Amino acid sequence: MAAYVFPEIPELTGKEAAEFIRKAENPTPVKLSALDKAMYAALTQKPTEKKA
Amino acid sequence: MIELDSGFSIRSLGESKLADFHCAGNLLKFFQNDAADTEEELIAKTYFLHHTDFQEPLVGFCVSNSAIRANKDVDMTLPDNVRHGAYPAVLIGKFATHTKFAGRDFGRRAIGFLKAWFVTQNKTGCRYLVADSVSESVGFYQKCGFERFPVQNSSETILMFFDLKAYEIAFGRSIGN
Repeated sequence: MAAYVFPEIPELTGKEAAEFIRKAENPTPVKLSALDKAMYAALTQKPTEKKA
Repeated sequence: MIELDSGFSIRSLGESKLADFHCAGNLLKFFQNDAADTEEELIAKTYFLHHTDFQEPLVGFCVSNSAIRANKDVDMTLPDNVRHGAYPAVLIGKFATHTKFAGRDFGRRAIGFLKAWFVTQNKTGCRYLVADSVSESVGFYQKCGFERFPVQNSSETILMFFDLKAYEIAFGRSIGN
C-alpha cells in the first residue's frame, strides 16, 4: 500500500467562497508566455500520443 | 509517450527509467517507492518530462482528479449567472525536478504542458490546476501564474491554484477568436 496520502482541498465558505465564485464566473485572462504558446501549439497542431 | 516541441516528451511511469531520477529526499521516496502503488490503487498517475538529449527523466509529477468546493450561501451577493458550487480540478500532488537539471526551466515547461494538456486533450472537464506545494516552491508556482488558495489545511504544504478558463480565454484572444 502506498504511503502517499491524497491531499484534500478544504471547502471554501463565507467571504472566501463568494470571492472565489465571483472570480470563477468572470475570469480575467492570464498573460501567456512564449512557453505557454509553444506547449499549446505542440498539443494542438499534430497527433501527439503514440506508443513508446 | 506524448511528443512535445523541441525534443521534449512526456512519458508514463512505466516508460521512464526511475533509477536515473534524483531529487530531494521525500520526493525521491515518493517517485521511487510510492508512485507505482498509487497508480495501482488508482489514486494518482505519475509522468516524467524527458528530452532526447538526456537519458534521465528531467521532471516528475503525479496528478489526480479533484475538485474545488465553494459553498454558496443564500446571504452572498453574487451575480445572477452563478451556477456552480464546485469546480472540477486536477491536483498536482508531487512535483520535482531532477537535481542535476535544477534552474534550467524544465519545471516551468512541465507546468506549461499540464496547462495545455488539460485544456486541449482532457477526457473530462477540468477548470483548475491545484498544486500541493512545499513552501520552498511557492515562488515557482507563482511564476507559473498560480495563486495561493484562500484556505489552507496543512502546515507542511501550501495549496496553489491556476484557472484554466482564464488561460483558455487568453488563447482565444491571442488567435483572434
